[in-house]
Amino acid sequence: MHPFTKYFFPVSLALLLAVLLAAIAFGAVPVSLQDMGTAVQHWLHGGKPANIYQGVFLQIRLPRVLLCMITGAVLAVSGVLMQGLFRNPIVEPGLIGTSAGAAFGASVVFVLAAGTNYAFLQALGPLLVPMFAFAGALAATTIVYMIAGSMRRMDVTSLLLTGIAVNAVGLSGTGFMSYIARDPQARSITFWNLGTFSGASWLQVEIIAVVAVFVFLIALRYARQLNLLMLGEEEAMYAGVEVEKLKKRIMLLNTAMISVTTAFVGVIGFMGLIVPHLVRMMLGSNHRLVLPASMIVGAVLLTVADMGARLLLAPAEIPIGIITSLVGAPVFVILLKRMQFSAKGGGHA
Amino acid sequence: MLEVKQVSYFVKEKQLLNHISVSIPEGDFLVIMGANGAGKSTLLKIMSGLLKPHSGEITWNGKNISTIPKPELARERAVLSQHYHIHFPVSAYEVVMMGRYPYFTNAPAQADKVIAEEAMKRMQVWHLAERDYNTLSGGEAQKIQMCRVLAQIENQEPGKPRILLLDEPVSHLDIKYQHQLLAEAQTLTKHGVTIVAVLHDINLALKYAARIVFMKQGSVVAEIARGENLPATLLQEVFDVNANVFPLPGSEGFFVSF
Repeated sequence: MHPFTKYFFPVSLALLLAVLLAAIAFGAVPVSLQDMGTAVQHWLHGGKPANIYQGVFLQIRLPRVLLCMITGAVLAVSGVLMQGLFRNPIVEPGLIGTSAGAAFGASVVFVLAAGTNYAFLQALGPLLVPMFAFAGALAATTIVYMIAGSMRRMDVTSLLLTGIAVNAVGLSGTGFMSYIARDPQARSITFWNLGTFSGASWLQVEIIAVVAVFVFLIALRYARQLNLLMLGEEEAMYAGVEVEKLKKRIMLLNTAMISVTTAFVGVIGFMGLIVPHLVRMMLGSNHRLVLPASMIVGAVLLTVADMGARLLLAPAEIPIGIITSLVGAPVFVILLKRMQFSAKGGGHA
Repeated sequence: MLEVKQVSYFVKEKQLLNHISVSIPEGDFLVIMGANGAGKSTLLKIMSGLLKPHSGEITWNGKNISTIPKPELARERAVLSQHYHIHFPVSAYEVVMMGRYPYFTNAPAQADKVIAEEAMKRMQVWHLAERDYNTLSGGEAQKIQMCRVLAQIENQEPGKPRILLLDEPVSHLDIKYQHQLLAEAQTLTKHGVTIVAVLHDINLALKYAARIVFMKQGSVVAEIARGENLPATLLQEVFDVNANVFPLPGSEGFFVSF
């Protein structure tokens, strides 16, 4: 039992609440606690916001902060699942091609569908980009899965290497789309490739919340199997885990999570790497603790990063992916170094 | 009773196991020996149900092992393999407790905690319980893994058959603990646990095994029961080195010098 375990959840939940309020309050237009209170009351009684501050709070700030928090939680859980699956703490959710596939799918919409006026594309409205992103993510993940799977039992090394190849294809596809794009479209691809919460809407919050709750509940059920997987795939099988089945389900969960977040907010790197690492430092590696703890820490960190994105160059915004990558890349290198030091004995990957 | 019946196993064109048959009665202590690449570990993996043989079958008390549901099998057989590395920070005690996972769904019961603790005390590693597994030496890690499999086969159902497969269980241990671990395994056989171990040290095998199976190039070349004559020519054939077999003074056993 780690010394932090007792205090972790109360402290982190209090921190989450504090960050929620701070993220709502600070911005290009400040929102006071009083405004928040009145706006919520008005909203509960079906009324309209009384002033611009309350309007900003209800229509812009609150959906943005909520979307950010849920996305942070989803990315962190996705990191935990992928690392557990690959038995390697330096794995990132984007590593098996999912993010690159989603990005490519979305860039196709930005460039090719923007100028067309097919009725069925128009009908999809705000869901058009997410759906293409999902298709791209699913295609990329399936390709990785099939190629790696054809190499006898799916082992981690072949999965990762195939992921690298598919990532490269996805990236060049996105690159090609920006190349043939007219300027404004290219700009939106760039921005989206770097991640942003500036377009947050209530619809996005609702969709991602449903996905998140669904995925979290399933993920928690796999906590013990993921613990056993830390010992090694064979060892997990000896302990009764149906490893191949587990792998497929985790991959599917991961695709769902990453497609939805990538579609709404773009590519946000390294969250899935940093958060589980921090949590394990504090709580150890038992997935029963790591999964819920990562949700909270992911929500807190991404919301803080988004405040940075909004406030550092206010009133202009920095794409949030730039901030997470700046912080995340050094952490990645440190982890890599440490893994080399501790790499002793058997085991692969 | 674990029965290996006419088992063959291939990887691509290469035949790793060639029509192997062995029967292992309950409470037996079988040691598998052979040169590198003789197929010992593969045979162990097939016995465990991890690998499916391309021909032949493995039966565990009359049932084909591949038809036994995995969670049920996990309460009857445990395997100590040669991989020890865990890339995540996890305490030694948590690793041992994973041996109890087949027995509880949420949190470990008091009985699970007692079993994990007793296993660690038996292997004299209780003082390592709170240590990060990754900071342990190779030998300590091996002992912790042994505790885990000991905890796994403690199924608390008298009369239920249990089997423990050990793949080079003493490779990282000093002499004292090599004997301690194998003596522990020998004690288990008196409680009806069947032991199958791959060992490289013939003198350890002679001391603890009830039977030794010698393998060469995927085939069983000889099976020697405790007290039976051990021809030096057999050892030369299996290991490709000159060997001398001496009677062990004061017992019916032998020791071997290469």
